Amino acid sequence: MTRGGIIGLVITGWLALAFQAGAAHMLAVGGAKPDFLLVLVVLAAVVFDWRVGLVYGIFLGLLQDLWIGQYIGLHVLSKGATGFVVGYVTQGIYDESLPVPVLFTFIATVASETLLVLLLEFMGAGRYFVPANLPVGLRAAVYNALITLLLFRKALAFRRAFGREHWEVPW
Amino acid sequence: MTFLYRYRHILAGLVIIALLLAAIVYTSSETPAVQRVRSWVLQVVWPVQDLFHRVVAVGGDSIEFIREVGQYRLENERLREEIERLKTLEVQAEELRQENQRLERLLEFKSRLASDSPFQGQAANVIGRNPDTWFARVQVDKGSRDGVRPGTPVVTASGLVGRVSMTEPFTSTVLLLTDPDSGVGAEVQRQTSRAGGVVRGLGGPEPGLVMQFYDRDADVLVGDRVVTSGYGGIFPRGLPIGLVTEVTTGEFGLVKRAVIQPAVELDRLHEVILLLPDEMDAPPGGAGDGTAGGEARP
Repeated sequence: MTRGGIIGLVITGWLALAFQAGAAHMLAVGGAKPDFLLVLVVLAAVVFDWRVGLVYGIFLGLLQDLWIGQYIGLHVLSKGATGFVVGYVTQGIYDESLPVPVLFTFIATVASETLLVLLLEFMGAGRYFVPANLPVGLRAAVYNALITLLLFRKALAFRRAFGREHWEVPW
Repeated sequence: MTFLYRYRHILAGLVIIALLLAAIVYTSSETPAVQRVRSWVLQVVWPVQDLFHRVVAVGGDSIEFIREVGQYRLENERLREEIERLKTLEVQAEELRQENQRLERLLEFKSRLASDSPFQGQAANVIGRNPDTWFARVQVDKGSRDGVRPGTPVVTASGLVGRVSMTEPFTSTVLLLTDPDSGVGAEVQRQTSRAGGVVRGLGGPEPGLVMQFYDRDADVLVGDRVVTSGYGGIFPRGLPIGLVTEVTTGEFGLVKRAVIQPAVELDRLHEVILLLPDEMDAPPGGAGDGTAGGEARP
């Protein structure tokens, strides 16, 4: 990935956080609001590889945690794990196939949210792990998958512009 | 050492996870250091965040506005239809109320009639009106099959309407008082005067009544009530015809006339009563029995 690509990802992440914090709640459907940060992590993991997915997940998770100002590490862990797992599982799969990121976004949303809820339960920070939250979680997963559908071509274009042939993540 | 090197990635991952868990626990309550960093992040994110918020809010508001406009339009349409429906109902209700009043009066008149007259009342609806302006005739929905015959007096609760001039099996034509062919034996109803004469219709676009007295010195005053005299045997005696509004004398002072305001609003007839003889074998006099309106002084 080129240096410009990294800067592009940072700016995109920053914009995504701003949009997530400022406007996502207004786009909620049936209590489910989209998670643009998670979508970006999944796209980065699918379009690039697990390393980019992991680093980008940690970066966006950290931004999100800092924005919240509490439980620093919670989203770092969930989004980092999501980026890593999605990138790892999808390596070797034909990554320009549209169903791949859409499907993985759906699965990643469910997994990530479940992990978050479990961590919060573990911390005693709430009682989110209840069946009533399942439909909302599934709606959010569908919502995120649809956003991925819209953004995937852009992500491929981004890779073509700042692709891995120029500069690799140094590990 | 080899083991550590071999699984260094996994170990590093586990260490990172452990550190993150520790961080989560450590920052589960607000800490000044984290708040300071958070403040920096918010300052960097906030301007764009605010911009996104405004843009999406405006977009959302616009969509909501468009949706509401659509809803309001539908609601407006529905309310208009409702208003039209209610207006129609109101008109119908008013119509029914007026009809009810008229029928009540007719019923009262009919029951009064039954007790002190040789006639029996037969209610009928006005179903047609003379199409031109020169004659004053209406059509009612009772005919010869109902026992109606030419000459049958027609009244309302307010007074005399006219008489039947023609009958069909199911309908009859009523010659109104104001028709130029109509003539009714009448008299002034006052304690000090029973001046008699014939009330004739004037016809025309503004139909009226004129009473021509038998006696040129007839005692008649403006405001006198004029009723049927009953002399001809067609109309029962004492049916209100109208009120005198003007008294005139003929060109050479030979006759006396009075303009009569009809007691019945003849241009607003809806229901009438046909006065059929109690005994069906005693028909009233036919139309055109020699005097105007078929009534003559005895």
